Amino acid sequence: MTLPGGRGAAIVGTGFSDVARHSPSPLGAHVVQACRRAVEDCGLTMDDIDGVATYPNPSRPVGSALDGIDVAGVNYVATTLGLTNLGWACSVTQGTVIAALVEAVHAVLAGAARHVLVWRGMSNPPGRYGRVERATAEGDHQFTYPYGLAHNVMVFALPYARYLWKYGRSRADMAAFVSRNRDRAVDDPQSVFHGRPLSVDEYLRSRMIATPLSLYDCDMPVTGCGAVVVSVAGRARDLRHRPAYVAGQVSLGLPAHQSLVMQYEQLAESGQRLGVRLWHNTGLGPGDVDQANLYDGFSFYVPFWAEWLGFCKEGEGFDYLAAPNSVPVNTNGGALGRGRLHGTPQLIEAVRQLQGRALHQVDGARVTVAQAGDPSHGAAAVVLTNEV
Amino acid sequence: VPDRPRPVPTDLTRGFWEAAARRVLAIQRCRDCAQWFHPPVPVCCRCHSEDLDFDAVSGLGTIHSYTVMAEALVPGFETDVPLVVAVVELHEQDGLVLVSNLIGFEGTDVPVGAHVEVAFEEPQDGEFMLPQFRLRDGAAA
Repeated sequence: MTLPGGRGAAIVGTGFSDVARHSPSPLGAHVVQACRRAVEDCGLTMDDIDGVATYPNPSRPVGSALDGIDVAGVNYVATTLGLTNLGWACSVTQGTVIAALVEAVHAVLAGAARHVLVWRGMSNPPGRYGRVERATAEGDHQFTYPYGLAHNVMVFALPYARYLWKYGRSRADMAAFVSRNRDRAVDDPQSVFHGRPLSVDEYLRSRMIATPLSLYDCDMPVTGCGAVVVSVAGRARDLRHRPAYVAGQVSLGLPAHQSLVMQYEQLAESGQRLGVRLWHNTGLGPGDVDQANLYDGFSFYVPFWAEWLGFCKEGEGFDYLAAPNSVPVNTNGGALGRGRLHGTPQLIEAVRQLQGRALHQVDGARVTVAQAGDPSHGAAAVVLTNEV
Repeated sequence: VPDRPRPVPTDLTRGFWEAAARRVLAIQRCRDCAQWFHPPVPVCCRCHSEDLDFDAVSGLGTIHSYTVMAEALVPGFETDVPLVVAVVELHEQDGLVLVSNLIGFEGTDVPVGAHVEVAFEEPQDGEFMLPQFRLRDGAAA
């Protein structure tokens, strides 16, 4: 058996839930909505679903983790959707929704399931986001919290500050990308920034959170969910929309060296390793890609991943994104435009572009890539094509 | 203002804090292959020896990266905004980094690459001496 890259699996359905900064509905309702939309999108029913996969981790570092309210794991979805024909289930601990998707692809290729539902739900209850109130600092935190390094935006600012210093760049180099990216979400009612454009000047004047990360370098926390259905290719052809065949996939993005904090050089090594393996697995290269979807949990990951996946050289990510002949990136606004949905904007757009159903359609798109996660907490990527 | 988070030493990390209490910066080191580790590890990541202990280091390093907390994100640090948090790479080994607040540094324009040396901050809670760093004289990057 040739694994992976056999075109033996395809993504056949996609669905976003409604998205809100603070929703009166629990996360579980958003997850049910996205999952139902994804299954209905391809014309299947819940009786057809015989596999489920998710990245169930809580979407924030503190607070409760009740299944169906703060998180939505495989148990919650199996019971709430009443999946009586379930034969395979998987929860991944790293790499977010695309790592879950990769396992679903593996299950389909191995014959363990025919139609797998994959989702990622994000919850944003009221309260100060990401605030850690602790009198004690345990584990590795004992070497960071006592210095005030106890908020995720600060933690992720560290590799970005190093990159800006190393390559002599500044926030001004990011401004055009973030502004243009917002334009791709303002006309979509399912985006958290629907109807709210962002100028270059507004970006540059926006409130600093933790240097060099300002408010609009962070994806806006929301409650919402994205879901897809992965099917065995032989069945995919008979479904409602054109299948997005899986040309190859990789779940990796782990550092090879121990460190107290994320170091830019270590991230780059890990990200590049993922990129090399991705193209090796697919038999394709970045030059074959018509449209790319790169993780944007923080803005800087877009130029980083453009470099690490080989679309340009290291240190040239900003230039690549600004170049007129570069591959269109995050054409649905990604998470920076739609809200903090952990890679589901990337995955769903990669499918819809190949189906010819994207809001900002790239004419004749035949090959897309979707990637999510970071090279310290796990990342994953998939290359899709509408050609068998 | 709430208390700052207080370190909770374990068998693995106690050597670091006990040395700090004596104003010594000590880092865990493999007795077999001499590799340094921070935070401390249960097994050497290079040669897999379990024979690890703490050795004093020079206390010299360079600023690897930094961030400035621009608003009160972290309880206990409300009065310290803007709070500089620096990552210091020790001279002893490439990639061996600690977190620090740059004692005596005014402003927020942190010089990446500049030379720093260890300093010790009197404990606020009367318990934990916190290793810190400050710029060395003529430390421009």
